[in-house]
Amino acid sequence: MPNIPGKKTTASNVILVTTAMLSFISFWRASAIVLCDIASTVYYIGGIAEHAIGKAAPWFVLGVMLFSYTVRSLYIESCSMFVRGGVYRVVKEAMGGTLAKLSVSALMFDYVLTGPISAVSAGQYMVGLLNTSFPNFHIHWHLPPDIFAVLFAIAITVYFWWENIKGVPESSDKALKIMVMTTIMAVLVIAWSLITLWSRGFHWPPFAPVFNKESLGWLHPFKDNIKPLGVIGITIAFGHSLLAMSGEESLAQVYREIEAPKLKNLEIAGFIVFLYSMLLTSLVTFFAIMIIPDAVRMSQYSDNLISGLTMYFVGPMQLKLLFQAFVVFVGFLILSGAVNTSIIGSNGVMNRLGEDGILPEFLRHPHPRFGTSHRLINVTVGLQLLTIILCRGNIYVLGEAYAFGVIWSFVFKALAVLILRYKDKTPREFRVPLNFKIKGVDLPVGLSLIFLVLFFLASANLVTKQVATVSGSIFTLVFFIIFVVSERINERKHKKKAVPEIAGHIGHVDRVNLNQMELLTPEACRCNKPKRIVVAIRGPRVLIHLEKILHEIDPDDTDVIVLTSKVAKGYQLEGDVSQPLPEEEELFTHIIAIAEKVGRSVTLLSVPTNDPYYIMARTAYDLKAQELVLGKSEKFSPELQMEEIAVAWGSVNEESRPLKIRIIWDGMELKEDL
Amino acid sequence: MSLRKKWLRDKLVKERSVRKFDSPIQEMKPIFVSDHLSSKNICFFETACTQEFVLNELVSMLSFDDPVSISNAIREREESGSTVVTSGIAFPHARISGLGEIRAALGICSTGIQTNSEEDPIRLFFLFVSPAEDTRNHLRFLTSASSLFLKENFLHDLMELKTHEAVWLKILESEVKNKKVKVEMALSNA
Repeated sequence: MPNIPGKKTTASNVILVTTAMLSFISFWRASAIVLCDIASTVYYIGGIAEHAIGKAAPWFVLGVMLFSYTVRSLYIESCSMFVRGGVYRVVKEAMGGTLAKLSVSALMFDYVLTGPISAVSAGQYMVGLLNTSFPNFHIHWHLPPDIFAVLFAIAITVYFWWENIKGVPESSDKALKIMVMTTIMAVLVIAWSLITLWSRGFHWPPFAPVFNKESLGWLHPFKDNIKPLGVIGITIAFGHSLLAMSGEESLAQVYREIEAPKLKNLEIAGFIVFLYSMLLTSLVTFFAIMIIPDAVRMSQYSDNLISGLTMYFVGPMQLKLLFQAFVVFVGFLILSGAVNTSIIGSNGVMNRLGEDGILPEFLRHPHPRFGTSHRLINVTVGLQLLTIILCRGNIYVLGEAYAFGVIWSFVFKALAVLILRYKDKTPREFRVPLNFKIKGVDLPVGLSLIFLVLFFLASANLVTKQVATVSGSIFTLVFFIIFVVSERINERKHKKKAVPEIAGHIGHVDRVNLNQMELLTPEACRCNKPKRIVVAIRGPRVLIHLEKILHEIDPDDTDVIVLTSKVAKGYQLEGDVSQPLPEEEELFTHIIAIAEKVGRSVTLLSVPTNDPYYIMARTAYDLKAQELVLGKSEKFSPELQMEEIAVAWGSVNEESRPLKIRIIWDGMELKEDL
Repeated sequence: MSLRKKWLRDKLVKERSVRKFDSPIQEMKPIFVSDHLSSKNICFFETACTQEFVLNELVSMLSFDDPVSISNAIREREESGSTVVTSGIAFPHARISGLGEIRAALGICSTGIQTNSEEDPIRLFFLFVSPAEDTRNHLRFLTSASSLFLKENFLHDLMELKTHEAVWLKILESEVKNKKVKVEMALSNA
């Protein structure tokens, strides 16, 4: 029987555990975050692709966008295996730590460049609008485009740095609003373009790409042997258009945050992303070529192609100018959103590296107020700001370099998922289609084809994109060396301190903040839904009941409060309560992993006690919970546990409130109403 | 198959469907200790008594045809886990198949009786038996007993009393105070 204390627990003993890892978003929000990255390329891909392969660019952009559907499948399969299934985790599982570090170095190059290319592009659009508008207002100014773009990019990056320091949920909210605006713009651009084409007539862009010295790179000496519509020519042209699908990795990064049912929601998000980006990016690129006259398209609008498109629509100039302002405003929003997504993605990747002991521990310290990994965000944003300054506003150079990180992270990912088909035979919720079995041997044809296409594109890029190959290789190598050195230092430090392995099978430890509460109330625990369930957790290995409850609840009307006990001799905490003990960190990590796996938020409490049943009842009472759920005790039978709770509930229930008790274990359940 | 086993089997059900929270907790009539305890079933003990003696005496007050089997059931329950609920208070109990209703007896020893465990001497033994088939009322009776006897100063107040009637009236008085409130709360919660 519970040893009921003479004195009721004081609420100041309760600790609220906070972490950014416990917030989840809908597939719409997830799509919006990913689209802010992928769809934002519409603002610059047309200019970059045409610069490299001429007027055939729209066909290749369309081809890349259609191919992105298969890459989406690749990411969904990897997410079905790992909740935090970014490149690093998947490559590590398949090919080991060294290649994982190499692949993630390439990915970091991608993230570090996504922000700058988007922010600088936004600056180019803005300065383009201003310089076009000034004469209409009799202002005789001409802003230097590149300097303005750099300053503008810095401002955007600093703004999203602060947003991310504050936390992801607010950022996803902004991403959703940005995508609503982008959709309005896209509908208007497409409709107006169709009206323009209908009234003026049109010619389809040519199929054959036209290469120049820059776009052939090291292959230029062999230019006479390269047929534009031969295998090599097409591969090179696709390589130059590949940037159109940059941002697919965000799909894996955002998976952790997607609410239940996770994989289904990811599939929906993936499809929304595909359809949206395919229509927007390819159509706008086609329209730009078909509507903007050749004489001015690349000379005046290569860095702000959609602005150029608006200026050549049919209709009065004032209206077109107004619409251009709207396009620039939306561009500013979505490109800024891409900056945000790149910070979120990079932060996710670096967190994963930190969890794996590859980055120094201090970098993962949660922000004291917001719980975010602020130091990792600072590193990413610092590198992005440096890139913005170094590029001096040149979008083409940024685009060239950017493609390196994009394609090589795809190649590593595809190869890793392919290897895992043979290495890890556990059933997956989702598999890339086209799988055959011949004489007992699995033949993942679809997956193999994706890998081969990506590999050939990456190889073509390697020899044609000189800027990308040189800068990308240097950056990747530098990051790789940093990761290797940092990992060795961490290993040595851990060996010296004999730090125990606390992560268990999860493979990482989540950092959390502990906040001592003045008073245990629903409001203090941020529980504002009508139903409340307290789930008591004893240890990291007994969590079946939590998973079951998280699957059952309707998150719109139910708060789940997870109660863990801090072993204490008395009822007061002593010492520094702001830092969790290693065993507590392990427990919190397991709880967070379950919440992530299911995709449901929980409120995590830690309470010191020498009487767990009393503290369960007390917490349920103080939080006005309708249900108390616990796992099976190793010591007592479930019936005895029920009796313990009944006694404890009687000792605290001053208002005769009803309470449902559920004991859940191994597919069994005992429940009763008190 | 014994009734207890049958009860266990019935209870240990595999969950098949997702339970929505729209199935409210059933309306329940409040349950009170004074409804199952009479002044005849209250007994005072001397310091020299043993726990075994107290339990047997309390069982004998419940007028069972076979008090030994009841004592054995209580002892068996005690062996599976202590029924000491807090310093000085124990709720020895058992669940008996085929029993019509809950029966309770109260033993008071102002100086306390040392039990086998290392816990403080027990000054109040609230023994009861309940039907094995009715888990809900068994648990709710435990809750009511806990709510009554674990009230601040209640044990101290009981120790001051010298007669069965005074103890029973004190319990009744305490519960009557809450009775109206409890019924109202239960109705409003339902």
